[in-house]
Amino acid sequence: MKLVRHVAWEIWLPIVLLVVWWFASADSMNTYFPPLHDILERSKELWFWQGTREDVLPSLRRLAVGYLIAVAAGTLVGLLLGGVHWLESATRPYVEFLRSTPGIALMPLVSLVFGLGDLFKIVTIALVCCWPVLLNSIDGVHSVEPQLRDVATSYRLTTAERVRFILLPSAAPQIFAGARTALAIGVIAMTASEMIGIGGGLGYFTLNASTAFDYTGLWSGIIALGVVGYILNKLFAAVERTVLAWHYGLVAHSQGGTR
Amino acid sequence: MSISTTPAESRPASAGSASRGGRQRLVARPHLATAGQRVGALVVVLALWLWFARAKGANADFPTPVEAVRTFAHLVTTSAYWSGVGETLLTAVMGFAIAAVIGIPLGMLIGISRRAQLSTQFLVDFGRNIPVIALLPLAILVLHLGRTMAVFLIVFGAVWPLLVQATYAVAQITPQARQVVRAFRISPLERIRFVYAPSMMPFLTTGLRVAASISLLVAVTAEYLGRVPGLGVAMRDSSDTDPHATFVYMLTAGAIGLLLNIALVALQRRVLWWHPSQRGKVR
Repeated sequence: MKLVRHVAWEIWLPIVLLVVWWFASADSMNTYFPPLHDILERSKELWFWQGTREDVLPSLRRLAVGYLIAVAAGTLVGLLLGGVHWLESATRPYVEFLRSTPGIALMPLVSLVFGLGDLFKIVTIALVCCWPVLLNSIDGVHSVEPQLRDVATSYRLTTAERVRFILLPSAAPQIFAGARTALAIGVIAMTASEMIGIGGGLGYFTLNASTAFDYTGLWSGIIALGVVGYILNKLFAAVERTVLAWHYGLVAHSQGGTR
Repeated sequence: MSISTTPAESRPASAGSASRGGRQRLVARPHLATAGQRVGALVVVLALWLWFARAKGANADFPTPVEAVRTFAHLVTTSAYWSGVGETLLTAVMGFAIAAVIGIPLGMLIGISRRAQLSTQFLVDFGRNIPVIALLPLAILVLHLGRTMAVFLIVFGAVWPLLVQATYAVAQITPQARQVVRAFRISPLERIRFVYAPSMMPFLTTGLRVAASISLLVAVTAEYLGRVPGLGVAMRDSSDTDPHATFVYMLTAGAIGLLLNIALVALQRRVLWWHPSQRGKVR
């Protein structure tokens, strides 16, 4: 019963808004705001399953490749910079500058070197995503408890063991926080790079639909991008919960809860 | 979900815990060695840049450091450069301000009631995960090309972190604090000044920082893709004919981002000087 009430509170407003949208747009003559009914019809036709194969999956593949490169590189470089202080202080200005550069500003230059195809999109996504991971990974390494460092020293752990058993676990919560931010801007970078680049994808589809006066297609594209962003975020949360289960347990324990 | 699992933005203290181990050692270092590292790093970066411009970027006319400096020296004397900077800043700041005016009060209202949080959870979660650029084609159709369109997109992108952080800020005020102010009959004005505002500030400043970088990002993107006057359009127009200028515009966008970030961090430090995350930092 409690669960039912909880779910009811969570879903009533979205449902009301959908119903309002449905009826308000039912006889819409405004070409930019077609009836919701038409949009859904069109979405069904588009995304099950041809469009998914042709546009959504390639988009996701590019995002996955670029994002995973960024997370891996950001984590590794972050561990290095976090561990080697003189290197961190020497590179800090450049890291700060690059992470402050709006990712989209990198696109013309990336396209200069890599053209407008797949590689351009993957490089753009990776370039945009790596900074939050990198900065959080550096901070994560810095936040390792001094006692743990002492333990590692007195047990004469090798560098590999330190990374595996001390640095990575301590930095993991922060790295995940960075990776979550990176995912959100990764989806933006994916969309924007596809709008500029050639060769399909959800971003390309959406922009193309609007220039082709296909307004139900445009709305379907926007909704699909929203759904993709939402699902990716939920997936990420699930992965984070699994990987960091020990961390949440620890936090709950230290705060006096039982788990 | 966004309430139970701490979103990335809502960890104001994270950066602070970092300074314990590393920074102190850095501060103690003699200045000479640090300066040496700086120069060394600069040399390495310039060498890498030169190598890249010669090797991979040669056919793409990627500028070498010297060429970049020369182009920059030329561009800063043109009015087009400064109007681009001004337009971008104006668009970004307008969007950012509107997002703050909408997002913070709305987030606070939602944060007051557990039911309001539950009711809006899905909408907020969905809204913040829509890649804001997806709305660009629609925004162009409805609002046409121009600043209004860019500002709308910025508001849509930047409002979420502010809203989520404001919700979080209100929701985390402990019942004890509320009971204490009631028991001591502290006046509403003083409650806000001495209890609620300080406890919300760390969350709000984090939200503001995230929102500011989103604002700049979306401003440049909207300019680039939607041909709104500003750095983005300058970048796009020059990319075919004059890659060196494109590069300088990119550096300019980066510099604006950096300055914005520095300004907000300084503000955060000033407002939150008492907070554990800011203590012990070199001022």
